[in-house]
Amino acid sequence: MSVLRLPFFQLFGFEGIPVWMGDPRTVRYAIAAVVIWQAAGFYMVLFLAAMEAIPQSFYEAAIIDGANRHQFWNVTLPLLWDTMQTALVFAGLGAFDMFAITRVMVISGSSTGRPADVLATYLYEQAFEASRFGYATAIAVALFLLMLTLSVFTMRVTRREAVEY
Amino acid sequence: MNLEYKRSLSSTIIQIVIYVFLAFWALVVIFPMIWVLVSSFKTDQEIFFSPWTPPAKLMWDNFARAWGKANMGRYLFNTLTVNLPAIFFTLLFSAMAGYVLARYSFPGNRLIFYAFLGGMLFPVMLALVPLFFLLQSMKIIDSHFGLILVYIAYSLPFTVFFMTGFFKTLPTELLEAAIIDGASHYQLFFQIVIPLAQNGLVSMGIFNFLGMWNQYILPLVLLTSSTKYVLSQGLAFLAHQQRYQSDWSGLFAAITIVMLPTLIVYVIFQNQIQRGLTVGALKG
Repeated sequence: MSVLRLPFFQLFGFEGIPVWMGDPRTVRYAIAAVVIWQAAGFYMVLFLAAMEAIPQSFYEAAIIDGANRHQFWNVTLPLLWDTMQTALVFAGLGAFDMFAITRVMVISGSSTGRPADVLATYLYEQAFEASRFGYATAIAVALFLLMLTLSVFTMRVTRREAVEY
Repeated sequence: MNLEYKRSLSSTIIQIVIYVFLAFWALVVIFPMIWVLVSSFKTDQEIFFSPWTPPAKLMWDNFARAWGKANMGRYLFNTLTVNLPAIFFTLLFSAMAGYVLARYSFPGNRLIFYAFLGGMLFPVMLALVPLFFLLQSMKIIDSHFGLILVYIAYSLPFTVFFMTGFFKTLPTELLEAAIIDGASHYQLFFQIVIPLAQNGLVSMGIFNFLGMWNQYILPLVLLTSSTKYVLSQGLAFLAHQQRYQSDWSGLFAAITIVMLPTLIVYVIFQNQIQRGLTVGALKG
């Protein structure tokens, strides 16, 4: 086992197995892995509900037209576009929070914790540990504007003609 | 999607790949929870030196330590003191607001509805510092009462939005019949509308329960004395302490205490929760 995995991580410049949470190079990815683990279920439920809402007749029509296993790419996915858009906006907004998970998983302010800082933890630190309330509020307003811009941008970029059913 | 079509070899292989991937993902999601559950019955020794084997002897003492010495019992009590009134008043106010917004037309109806909708866009982070000072000047900082008010305020927008949609789908005949029988507006609301809205209220009650149970940043900012901590906050505090005094088995028992109620609630009410999760995102 150890013979196998040492060269693998050496490819990426590590001596041996990375200390995921203790290495500034990996700490962000370690947190990202947890976020994916936590959030995937929600999006699964979302897409499942959307798929169940697609009328059966769409699939029947596709079969008659000679479709087989490519139904997913050509029928299901285009009909899920609205949901995809919503999911993208949700995920984007969620990415601006990340407070609890970052705060709990890293030791804030430490040399390995710094690279994992997100706006939300920085805001909290500035307000309630350094008592710079004005500065913290400015961060909050900037955070809000960023969220708003990103959401509007996502909606614009992903806009497609909606299929009504 | 039970349509039959001719299965070729390649589609069978794709099926197998899909099942293997899904099984793998299910394992990845469930495994950490089971591992925490199993670890909560082990000794510290076993957690470190044989992390993959079941415990030799069930260490119920871990739970006793987590409950008593680590104050999880007190945190649970605090959580319920905050969440139950917060959920009750959220549901009461949302039902009232949603009913009126859905069923009565008056000038400003849309304006109020969109004001609630706008509240859903408002991130907690933006209000954090102002909230702290507001509660401080109202002398309800570091009190459960203050946190209850904040929770209600934060749960209202989505719950009102949901309940408004819900009341629009209710049949009007029953309400008209009640009015003809001489019911007042209050009788109509409390004796006819509320019982009819039971499903929607249960959905929102559970949805808000889970949200408040997991809420971390608001109690962290608004409750400062450790005797008033709620579960999420207490658990993070405990995890932080473990860096200096290592009672890992006790910590795992504490995590189990926090995790189990939400898991049980989710398993029992999964349909209602899914409805709450997807209603804002799907049309119709």
